[in-house]
Amino acid sequence: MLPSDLLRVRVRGGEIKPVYATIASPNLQLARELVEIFATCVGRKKGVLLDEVREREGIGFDYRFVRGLSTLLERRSVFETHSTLDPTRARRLVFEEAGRRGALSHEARERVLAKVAKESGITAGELSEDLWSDLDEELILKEFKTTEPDELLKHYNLSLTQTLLFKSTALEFTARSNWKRIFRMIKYLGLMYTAECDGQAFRVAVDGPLSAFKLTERYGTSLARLLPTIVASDGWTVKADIVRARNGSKRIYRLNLDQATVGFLIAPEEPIKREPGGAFDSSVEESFSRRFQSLGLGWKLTREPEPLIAGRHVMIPDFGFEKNGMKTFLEVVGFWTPSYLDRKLKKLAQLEGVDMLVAVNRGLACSKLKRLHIGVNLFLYDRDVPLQPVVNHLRYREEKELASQVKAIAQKEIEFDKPVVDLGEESRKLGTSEEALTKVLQQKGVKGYTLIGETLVADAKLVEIKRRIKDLPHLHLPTVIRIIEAEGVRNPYKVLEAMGYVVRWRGLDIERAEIQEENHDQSIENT
Amino acid sequence: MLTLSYDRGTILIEGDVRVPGSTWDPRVKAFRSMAIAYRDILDFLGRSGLDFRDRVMDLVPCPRLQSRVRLRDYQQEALKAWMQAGRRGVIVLPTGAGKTMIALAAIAELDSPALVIVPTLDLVDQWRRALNRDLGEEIGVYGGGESVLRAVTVSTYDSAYLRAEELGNRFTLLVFDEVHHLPAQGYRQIAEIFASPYRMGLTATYEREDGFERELPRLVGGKVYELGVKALTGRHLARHRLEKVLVDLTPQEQEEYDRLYGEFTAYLQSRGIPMRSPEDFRHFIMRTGTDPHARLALLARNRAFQVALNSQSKIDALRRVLAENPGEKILIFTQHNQLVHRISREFLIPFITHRTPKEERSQFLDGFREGRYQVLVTSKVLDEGVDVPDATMAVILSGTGSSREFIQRLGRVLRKKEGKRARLIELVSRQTVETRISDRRKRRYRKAEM
Repeated sequence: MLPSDLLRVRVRGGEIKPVYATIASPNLQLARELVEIFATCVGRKKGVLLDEVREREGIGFDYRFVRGLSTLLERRSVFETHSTLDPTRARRLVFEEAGRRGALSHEARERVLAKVAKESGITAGELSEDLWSDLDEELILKEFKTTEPDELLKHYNLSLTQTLLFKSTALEFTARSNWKRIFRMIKYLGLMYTAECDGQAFRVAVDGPLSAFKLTERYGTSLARLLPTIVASDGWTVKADIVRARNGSKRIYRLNLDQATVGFLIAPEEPIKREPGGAFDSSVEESFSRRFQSLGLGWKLTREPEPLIAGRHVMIPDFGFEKNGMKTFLEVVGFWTPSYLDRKLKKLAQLEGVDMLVAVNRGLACSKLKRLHIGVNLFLYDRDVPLQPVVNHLRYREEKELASQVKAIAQKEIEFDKPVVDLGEESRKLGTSEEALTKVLQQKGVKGYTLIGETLVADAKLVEIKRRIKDLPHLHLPTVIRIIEAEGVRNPYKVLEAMGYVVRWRGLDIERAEIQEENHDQSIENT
Repeated sequence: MLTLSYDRGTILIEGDVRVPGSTWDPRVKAFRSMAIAYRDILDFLGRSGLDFRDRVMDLVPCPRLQSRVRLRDYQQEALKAWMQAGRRGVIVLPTGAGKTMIALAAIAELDSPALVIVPTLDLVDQWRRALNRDLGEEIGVYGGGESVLRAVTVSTYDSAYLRAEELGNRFTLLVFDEVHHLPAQGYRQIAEIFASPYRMGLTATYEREDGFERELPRLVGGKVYELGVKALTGRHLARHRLEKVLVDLTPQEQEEYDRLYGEFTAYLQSRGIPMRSPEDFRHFIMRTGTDPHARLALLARNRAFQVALNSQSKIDALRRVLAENPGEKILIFTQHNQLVHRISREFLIPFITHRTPKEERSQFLDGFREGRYQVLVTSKVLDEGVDVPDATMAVILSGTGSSREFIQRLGRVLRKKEGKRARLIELVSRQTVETRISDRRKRRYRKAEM
């Protein structure tokens, strides 16, 4: 955040945008020079430092840009007072002495300084330095935490955006991750939100209590403080209404930002730390995530998936599981205060049409849990959240889904017009899963076709392929495979097997492998 | 049942009644209104005879508040006028007329939690001491790094603005010292976010240059009592005299001034920019953001002003004034800190700026009161409300054209003392814009005199 007088914006039509610094020369050059000035001024007076910075203002850069950068660098600096005598004490002694004797003439002034210096055991020169050593421009730069020029520019751009948000009345955003942090921040800042999901994106409008009846900039600072958390998420977009005085009256301008267009220009000073897959609230959750992923069930596990709307509030479950359009959520309830549990259960009860698993620590009072009934599957845990109930539930979901798909397909008349049919492709056309289609075809059979793995091959085609193989001068595996693949078969070895051939490998070299008719020699040599 | 509660600066009205001035808030599915409307809501519900639960106020626990102050006749009149106006409204009295006493009496009269809001840290200290001395209770403070809540608490406008949501339902009475600050865009929200039904504003200068005093009736209640400088002079305020000393710039300074100021006016002429009102100046400042020539012109103008304001001749003239008035207690006012430091260096006299730490500030002020220092130099910080009762003379080295600033600086030396005759001396550089600025700031003073 910067002082408002350093804000730089461009207004076009009803839109407003900060004047972002591009991460390129000559901006990078300026940033590098300023960082160097600060680094080389360690041990020197702030006044000297600022004079050097001011010199850069006249050379083709907007002074507000130069000052903006140096303001950010000042915040990375530690200034301190250097003096032999404490300046407050030095002043009291000198001013009181001057009060007694007067210091209107140069000589009288020198006499006062000399007397006080002598009594304090220092020189008059030291004393007159000490007297002012705590004034701003006399402070000494003690430490400077350096930064990279591109980081400085990105931090500047974010600060500029925050400064513009000081004048905002409301903000709306979307994001694809980092939800818990964002909502925690909204609450911490005393803001209010309305969440809305249009099926695609989850949109959150943020303002404050007073926004109900007037456009107010009161929450601008809080909205500005929320911004770094939003831009630390993936796929963020931000819209805000900005109030600006124009020709004596106030106008509202729209600010539109998104990660795709400006994300590479913006970064917080200290990047918000995020481990891959998101930070965990507790080791219980971390352990669960690790164990679940090692199972390899084909369900995609997400930490803190998109929020769910629960009445007036949102709820961000700890985990989301996703497979073939099926979604299931898991909330882990550990040791918490009774009022927290109350709120959580109330929220859970308000979820509609959501498949939710809740793992509750056995140590919690179970009487409260009895109140919970609708659409939520509860199970208890002691130290670790067990995988079994979760896996069972997911399997149950898969089977149920499969069964319903099988039932739907079995009633359909399916006709095939190609000699080779890929079931993956076919199932997508039919809007069902490959598994369901395979199961139905296995049960019903298709006249004139053989089901080989995930491929349906016309019997006539099999005869044709077999003849072409037999016509070969000798059974060269790569040639045979090419012939079969040319028909559009995904797994040619299975087709080969189905036709009664066996491949005998000699080492890993495909050129040396032999093909034999099955009824000859079935033993496979180990090499 | 209809329930009223306080929610971060607003009143939530839950129940099926639409109260005038409230708005349906779909976020919480309830009616909501600004906290300032609390009193009107109670009034409306009372008149309607509706049954309701009121959970708005959460008052700070309060001991019995008793005051020993004896009010002067006009102070009593002012308090009475305020009480009769429904315990709301602004009292206008000149600096030094004892506005603090009236507030003390009001706090004791209501005998319930009160928040006093003041513009500067000096005033926080001053009010805390006065309240503590009279009420004999520990006083809470918000501002300058402190945040202590008590039944009677003093806060800066800034802290009150920042913490309005959390403090807004803890006090029955709000006292706004120097209430002319309140209508500023940000500060007015303090009045809107607090639910406190009773409000008192105090000031010596009701009018604002921007005309926003018209907001005061809504925020605190209108003017309920007013008394001018003239009515009190001699009886309650010191007699005073105004003097102006014209100073010539040194030849080099004059030359530099003319050159720099000439650059500024040449730019204005070349672009045909008028410069007759503060509005014109604001437009020009906006231009400096985009037009580098405008910025150069502005820098030239500022440097010209610096030359005039910080002229060596003025330092010499000040030296003469100080030499001619031994034994007087003198306050020196300047516009910028830079000059404050220069004068302090030159004459080895204590200085107070907004950066001066609190302890050192009170050490200097106490020393001035007790006579260890005869002279004190300061920038804008002492303009308002801080008691420097023993000052007999004020010297203005530079200032803006603001009448308020002038009247307030005058107020610093006007506190009544036996046989006291106060003097205010202005040092103005001849042949610069300063002469015009000096005239401008005395306009309203003259008007008030007549």
